[in-house]
Order: sequence, then structure tokens, then C-alpha cells
Amino acid sequence: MNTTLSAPPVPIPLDTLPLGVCAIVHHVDASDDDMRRLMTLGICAGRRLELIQRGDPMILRVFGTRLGVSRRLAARVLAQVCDHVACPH
Amino acid sequence: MSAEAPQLAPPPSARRPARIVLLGNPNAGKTTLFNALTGLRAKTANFPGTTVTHRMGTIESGGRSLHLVDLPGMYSLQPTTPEERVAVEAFLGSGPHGTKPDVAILVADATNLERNLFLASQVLEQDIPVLLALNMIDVAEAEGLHIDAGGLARELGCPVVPVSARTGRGLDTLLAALDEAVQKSATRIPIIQNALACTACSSCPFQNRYTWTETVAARHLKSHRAARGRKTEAIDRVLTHPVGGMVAFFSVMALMFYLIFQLATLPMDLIDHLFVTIGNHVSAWIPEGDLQSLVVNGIIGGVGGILVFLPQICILFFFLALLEDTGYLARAAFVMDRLMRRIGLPGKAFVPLLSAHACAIPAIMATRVIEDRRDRLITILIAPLMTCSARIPVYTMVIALLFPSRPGLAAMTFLGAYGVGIAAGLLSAFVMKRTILPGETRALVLELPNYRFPSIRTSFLHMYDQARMFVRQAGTLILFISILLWGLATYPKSEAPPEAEALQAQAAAVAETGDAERAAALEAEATYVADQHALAHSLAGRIGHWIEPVLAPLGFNWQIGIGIVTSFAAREVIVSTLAVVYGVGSDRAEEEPTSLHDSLRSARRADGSPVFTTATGFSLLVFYILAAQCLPTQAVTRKETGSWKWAAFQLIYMTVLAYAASLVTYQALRAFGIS
Repeated sequence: MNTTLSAPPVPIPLDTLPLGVCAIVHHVDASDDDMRRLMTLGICAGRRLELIQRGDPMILRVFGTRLGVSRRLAARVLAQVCDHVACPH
Repeated sequence: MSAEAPQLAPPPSARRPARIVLLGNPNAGKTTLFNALTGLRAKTANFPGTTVTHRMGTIESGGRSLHLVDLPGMYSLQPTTPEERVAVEAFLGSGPHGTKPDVAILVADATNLERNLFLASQVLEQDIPVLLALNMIDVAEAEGLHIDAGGLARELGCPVVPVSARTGRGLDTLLAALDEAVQKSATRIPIIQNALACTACSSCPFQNRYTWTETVAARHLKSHRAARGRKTEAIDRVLTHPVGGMVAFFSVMALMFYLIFQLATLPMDLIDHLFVTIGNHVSAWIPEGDLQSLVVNGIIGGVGGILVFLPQICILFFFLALLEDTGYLARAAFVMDRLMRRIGLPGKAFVPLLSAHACAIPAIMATRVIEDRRDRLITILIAPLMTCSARIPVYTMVIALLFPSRPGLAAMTFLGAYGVGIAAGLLSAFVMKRTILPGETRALVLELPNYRFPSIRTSFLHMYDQARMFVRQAGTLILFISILLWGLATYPKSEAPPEAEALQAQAAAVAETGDAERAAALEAEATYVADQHALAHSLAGRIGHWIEPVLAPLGFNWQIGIGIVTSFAAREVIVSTLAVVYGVGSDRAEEEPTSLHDSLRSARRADGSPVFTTATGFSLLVFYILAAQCLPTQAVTRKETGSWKWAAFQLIYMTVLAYAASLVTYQALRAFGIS
């Protein structure tokens, strides 16, 4: 990853991400069940994602596919907006 | 078996058909590939001890039988739904039914290599030979993706075959690779990069896997960021839009129901006609008497009564399979999620509840897509409250009695009846969610797959399977119940009443004068009177009398009581029962419904007041909207929930609800002076 980053951005909940910006999942704070479902579909620490449609449920692009995620759950996932140069998105 | 047999027989490994499983992500085109490989020879079966079904079929290839099993879709080997759990167990051979497969065909969507390789990373670690089928390679190429299959095969340590299940491209190569894998199955063990060896060194055990997957995909995938998914995105801007999506959804559903009710009319008439014809022929063969009555009225009539709904059910299943295949059903769940969550159900519950407006049985079978057990249970429990096709004849009859010459009001009442069913269902869900099945609704996490052109063949096979299941589940039970109810309505037998005999004598006298037409009419009249008398004195008639005190507060007399008893298993039966009870004859009522309506309207109670007042009519309507009068539904509920407890609960709560609501309706209308 890019080492010239200044301070890493503060992790924010997924539902507050700006549209169309690449972000990296920081951590997920949900029930075991929900965590497992999110993880299986690619939402887990270290993964890149992008918010492509706001609303409840919202649409995220994760790992090459589009996922519909309810806002309640998205609010429990924290992500850092990532540096444009470093991000292949 | 003789003593020499073991020496003569070839070694079991060569004789036994090789077990091949197909597994892969949902939407990877697994089933289409399976159907392309097996053709029409496949069968559907349940995994032992579960309601989870799979298709299986045997093909001959490379001089050996290959037994193919199509497993339910999964995203990883860590299951999150019951279906996934069964699929994973069947793959690993860890379940109660289990031996490991000889070869696993991992079906991956070539247009979405990254996500599909994730499952590969887990599957390749198992001690099972794997063959990777890169499905939909034609679509991937059209989108400008190029996958280096050779390079991928070297890296994964397993054969990789690009195929298109739709066009048949690459299937020969796949079969050849399969034969080879089967031959070598005892010796070859796939190797996976040791990059995956460490899975515990991060907070997320999946992290390394995802990194590995991404790296591998990136290495073998050219023009990675092509116009991929653009079309899907454009379509989704409309179909998942908060307003546009809702409009689109209801339009699609309206179209589906239009098709169900329009296209099904002709085949339903044909089936109805077929059973009547069979009944007539059988009547000609079997001498008049109890046996004839049992076969014609009990068996043929009962089975025909449920099979007549088959065309609607087939259209429903076909349409849903088509929508599923295009990727639209995921959007339907997406747009309905917010709305449904208000009452405590997930968006995925909507399509089953909608299907219940055709028939509750396929609807209950369709709840399998709901992940959470409680959410699924509630959906199953409330599905029969939706107005199914079988209620339509009852609504038609009652509403014709209520508003004979006011079509506007009649139409409103009809719509209102649907509304009452939906409202009762949603309210029941709301209450159950807060009482017997508490818990938060499972939050939506759902893949929205790329749209694609649906496979008619796959949808058709799916429809065929589901229809077969419907006939098996509903048909066998209804046969038993029809015989039972026939017995209740037939025994004990009673002498024909003097009126019938008088009519008969009159008919004979008229026949002698040469007026055959009038004689036949009198003859029919005599039969109607005799049937009416027989039913009134049968066990069903006695039960009608016994329960009259219970039904009186709802405004029902003992005749309606007989109708309720005989329609206990199938609600539409009340129409023909009332026709017999009121001496119209079920054949005449069918040909000219007004004859039944007139006779019901003029029916009088013992005190001379009319039977069918406005209050009684509304009360009866409310009762039939809410009552559980359909035992096959309970049988399917038992099967899907795995216990009689829930089936009994469904029957009881719906009956109590129907009774209470009818009571309130009748008493309130009377209190307001409407009667």
C-alpha cells in the first residue's frame, strides 16, 4: 500500500460514505450471524468497497459485485476513505 | 447372491457410478450447466431428512456412469442458511448422508471471477478432486474480459475449462476433463498456495483468502476494468430506485397475476372438463351405488378439485423462475425490504406472500429463500391468509348474494376481501413478531447479480419440478381427505323422502304423455330433493346440526354449517355443498349460478326470516377470507417447518381469527340495524 499517506482518515460508518469513493473496511461490529453473512459476501476488515447508491437498503460494490445492504447493518461497518493514488478502483 | 459373485464382479470402484457434485455461488449458472449435462434425465429429490431439494441425474461418459448432483448455491464453506449448510455437508461428505464425492465441478461465473474464486480457495483445500468450469465465458468475452485458463489451472492445480452452459460451448472438453478426473480420482489431490496456510493471523480469518483471490484473479484476468456491469448499473438505476423500483415491481407483479389468471383459464377449463368426462365414463362402467359414488364424487371429484389449480401454479412457478434467472427477484427483495421490515418481515418474504394469492402451497414452498428461521416461520404461518384462487368461487357466490344488481359495490367488496386478507396477514405477522416469535428481522445483505437473459429451459424444468412436488404433496393428502369427506356426506344413508318419490311418480306420468323434456326436469328435481335429504341426514348433516349453536352467533344456520364442514379441506367445496343442501343440485348450480343464488336468496329460517341477510353474507365472507379451510396447506406447513406443532398452530389461530372476526362483523352489523 501507499506509504506516503499522511494520517489515515478516521473510520466512518458505511452509510455516511460519500458516493462513488473507494473505501477500506476498518472493522465490523455486528452479531456473529450478520458478521458471517457480511464476511462471506466480502465485507470484512481490509476489503475495498464503494457506495454506489444511497438509501435504505443501499447498494455497495464489493469484490466485483453489487450488494444490497440495509442501513441498520451498514451503520455497523466502519470504513476509511482510501487514497486515490493507492486505490486501483 | 451366489458364492462366486464376488470373484466374477468387476472391482467396485470401476462398477460403481462416480459421484460428481456441482457446486458454486448462487447465480453462477450451475443449474443451467447441470441441465445441459444431464438433459431431461434428471430427477429432483430431497436431501435425506431435510426439505432442501437438489437435482440429480446419471450420464454415461468415458465408459462409466457418472452420477451428477446439483447442490444449492453457496458463497463459502461457512454456511449462513439451512440450504447452504446442507450443500456444504453434501460436498464435504460430513452430513448424515455422506460420502465424499469422487469429483467436484466448481462452477464459476467467468464475468465475476474474483468473487467466484473465493469459494475456489476453500474448495481446493479439501481432499476432493476439483474441476473448475468457467461458465458464461461467452458473456465474459463479449464484455471484453479475457481469462488465461491455462495460467489459472497451473496456479490452482486443477483443470480449468471455459464453458457456456447456454450455448453448449466447451461442454465436450468439460466432459473429457471430467472423465480424466474420475480415472485419476484416487491419486490426485489438489494443491493450494501456502499463501492460504495462515488463516488465524488476522482479525478476520477471511482476509488472506480475499487477498489471495484478488491476486489470482488479477493475474489471469485481462482488461480487468472493462465496461463490466454497466448495463446492470443502468437498469438498476431504475429498478432499485425508491419510487421507480416500486412502480416497476408492482407492474411486474400485476403482469404476473394477469398472466396467471388469463392464461390459466383455458387449461383449467380443460382439466375440469377432463375430470367431468372421466367421472361420466366411470359412472357408465360402475353400477349405480356406493362404489360409483365413492369413485366419481369422492376420488375423481376430489382430485380434480385440486388439480384444477395446477395451471395457475405452473404459470406462477415458471414466471418466478424466469424472474429469478434474469436477476430481477433479488431486486424485488431489495425494493420491498424497507416496506416489509416495518411489520417485521424481510424483503424476501414479499414474493412468497404474493404467490400466496394464487395458492398458499407454492408460496410456503417458496419461503425457503428466507434465511432466518423465525422470519420464515411467520411468513409460512400468514401465507394462507392471502386470498388464494380457491376462495374466488366462494367470494363470487357470497358477493352475488349481497349485491345482485350493483356491480360497482360488488367489485369494491371483492377488492375489499383481498384487502382484509392482506391486512389480517400483516397484522398477524406484526403480533407474532412481538409475541411467540420475537427477535429482530434479519438485516438485508443480498447480492444483486448482473442481469442476464433468462434460460427458458431452466425455468421450465424448475416449473416441472415444483409442479410435481405440488401434486405429490397436495394430491396424496387430498385423495385421503376427499374419501373421508365423501364418507361423512354419504353415511349413514336414509330413505328417499316422500316428496322425491312423488316427483319421481309425476315424472313417470309425464313421460307417458310423451313430454320427455318435462319428465327429465322432474326427474332431476327428484334427484335434487333426494340428495338434499340424504346430505341433511348424513354425518356431515348431523355435524352441521350439532355445531349450529356455535355458529348461530355468526349468523350461520345448520345448512351453512354443513357447508363449512364439507369445505374443511378445500374451501371452494362450500359452493357445491350449498347447492345440494338447498336442493339446487351441484351440476345445475355450475351451469347456471343464478339458480343457486335465487334459491339461497329465497331460503328461509324456521321463523320465516331470510337466511342470507346482509349481516350473514358479510359474516360468511369474512369467515372464508380468514379461515384455514385447506388441509393440504397444513400438510405442507408441517413438511416445511418439520413439525405438526406449527401446522396445528396455523389451523387453530386462523380458525379462531375467522370465528372472532365473523362474530364481530355479524353482531356489529346487527347492532347497526343492518340485517
